[in-house]
Amino acid sequence: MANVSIRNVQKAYGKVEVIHGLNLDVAHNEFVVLVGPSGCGKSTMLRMIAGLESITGGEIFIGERLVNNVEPKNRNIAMVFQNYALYPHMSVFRNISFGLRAAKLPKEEVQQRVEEAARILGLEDLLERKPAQLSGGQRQRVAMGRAIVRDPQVFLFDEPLSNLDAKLRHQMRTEIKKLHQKVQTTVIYVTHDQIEAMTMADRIVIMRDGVIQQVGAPREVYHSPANTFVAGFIGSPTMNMMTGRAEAAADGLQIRISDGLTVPLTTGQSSRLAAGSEVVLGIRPEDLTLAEGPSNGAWTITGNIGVVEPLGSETLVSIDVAGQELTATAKGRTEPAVGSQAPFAVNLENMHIFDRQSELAIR
Amino acid sequence: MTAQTIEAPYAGITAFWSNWRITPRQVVIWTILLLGGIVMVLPFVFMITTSLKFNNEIYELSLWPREPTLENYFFLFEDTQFVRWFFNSLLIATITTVSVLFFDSLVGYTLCKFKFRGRTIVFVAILSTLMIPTEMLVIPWFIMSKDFGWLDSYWGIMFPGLMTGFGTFLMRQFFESIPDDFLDAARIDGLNEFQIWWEIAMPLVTPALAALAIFIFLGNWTAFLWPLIVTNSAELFTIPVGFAAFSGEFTTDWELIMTGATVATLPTLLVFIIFQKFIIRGVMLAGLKG
Repeated sequence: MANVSIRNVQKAYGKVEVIHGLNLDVAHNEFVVLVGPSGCGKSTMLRMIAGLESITGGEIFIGERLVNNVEPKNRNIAMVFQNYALYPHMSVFRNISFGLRAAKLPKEEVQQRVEEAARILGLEDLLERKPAQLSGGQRQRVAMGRAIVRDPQVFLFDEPLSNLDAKLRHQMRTEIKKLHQKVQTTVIYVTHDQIEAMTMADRIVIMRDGVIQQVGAPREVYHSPANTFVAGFIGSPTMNMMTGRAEAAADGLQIRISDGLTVPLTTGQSSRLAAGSEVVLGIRPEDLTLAEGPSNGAWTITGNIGVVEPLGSETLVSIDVAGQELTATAKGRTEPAVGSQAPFAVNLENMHIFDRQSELAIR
Repeated sequence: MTAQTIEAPYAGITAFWSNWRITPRQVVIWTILLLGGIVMVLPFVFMITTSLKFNNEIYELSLWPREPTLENYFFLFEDTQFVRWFFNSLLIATITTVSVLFFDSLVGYTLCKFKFRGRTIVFVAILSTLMIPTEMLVIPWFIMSKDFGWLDSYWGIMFPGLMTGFGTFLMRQFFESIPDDFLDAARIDGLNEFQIWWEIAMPLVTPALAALAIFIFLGNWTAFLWPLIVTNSAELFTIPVGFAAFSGEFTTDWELIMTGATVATLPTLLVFIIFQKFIIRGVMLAGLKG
């Protein structure tokens, strides 16, 4: 069993604490993604699990073993680095086999393991090449080969796709996911790209300033963000956020955003709020759509169309509603006219409400 | 049609020559380069031709000897201790170069990649040694050599140059360019810190090592002041010190000095040719993302 258990782990550089008592349990074979903006401590956390960074306090277990003072080489982990860290002066074969040779494994076993890893990753024809003679995707595969050849208990990935172009990144995401299914090992993956996190993870850990904000399955963190930070970080384009105050309406409550804009709440939402509460209202762009026909009873707002960004499958529309800059969506083939006014339907059921002061979701 | 087919391959070359114009700027640049080349090469040509002259001809400024002779070479190898001095210079320059490459890069790596208390102070102290001229150091070196009994010995000649502040500084700066991820990957792969330095970091700074090797080898090959001070026996002379013996109070055997200098140039050329390859290969390696 290769579960990873992080208990009250802290990290400080001098007097500056960057990880504040972090707790996380990663189950055997689970694919967990640590995600957050630059400087949130996710890479530091990964390096502490790897043993490349000491911990100031707390405990890290890999399997049942406390590894606080265990050397990286003895933790039975493998790590894929952001810049691949392939030794430029060695061939692909030597790069992949380096750890095995360092461990003084018999030659035949080294050969066999490297060939097996090369077969899994489609690197058979590249074994004699140097890293400089490989494309970005091939280098990435070699880096993964170097990891899987060790047959580790835990794979650690530190932003491995950030140097690749968008198309290759998409391809490699699929390959990493397939690899995980094939080798069945615990994976802890760090990225700042929420799309990577959403598409690959069994569970996502969202971090900010050395503190975990939310842990959950991709759909869970997307549809039920714990606070405004998670709501803003997960999802692209980002969620529209508007601050306002709850006030009584004819059938429940409504949120007054500004003098010209009030948003009604559903009965369920009204029941969780008291009149006068200061709140942040969150509406995802896909819940704010250009109403092209009769609204069929949906609540609509009128927006001045500012910028139109056609993405093919859908069109993003920046609108101004009573001084609020919002992002809405329209169908891919729609061409809204810049400068015109149009009605936009709001899916009130999917609105998110957060307490303005604590920034926590009101559920 | 046929004519066109035949002429086509030459069309580009013809166009090149017909479009080729010598601009005044090019003339100025070439003239400067030519003059620079002559200034650089002429002393070498003069050195070689003088080595082929008889004694009575050496003060004539002719580039080519009237009667070229290898007499000076025979004399140098058979009737002087030149071979011994050559061996001494080679031994001292080689040992010093190997020592500098090893220790300077080890210290440079440590100062660059390890965080420890006093690291900056140590680095600044090493840097500050660069600001002290050799002439000032000669006296303490001499006193040390005398006290330790190193006068007139190989060790006495070599010890001041076995580690250098310049090399440490240079190597530290080059190690800065190695991403820490390489070293971390090696740590996870199971290497100890010495192996990481030797097997991962050192091959990545080959250009710096090659440049340092050339610099240190040449420096020791041509060193004069300290070997002159620390040695008394002719058996321990290096080439420059030995050459000084050719220069008497009233006469100087220029033909022998030039002959010796011609022979002495060969190893330095060899060192340059060997290490130049590493420099170019290293630069190419460093230029590619890997």
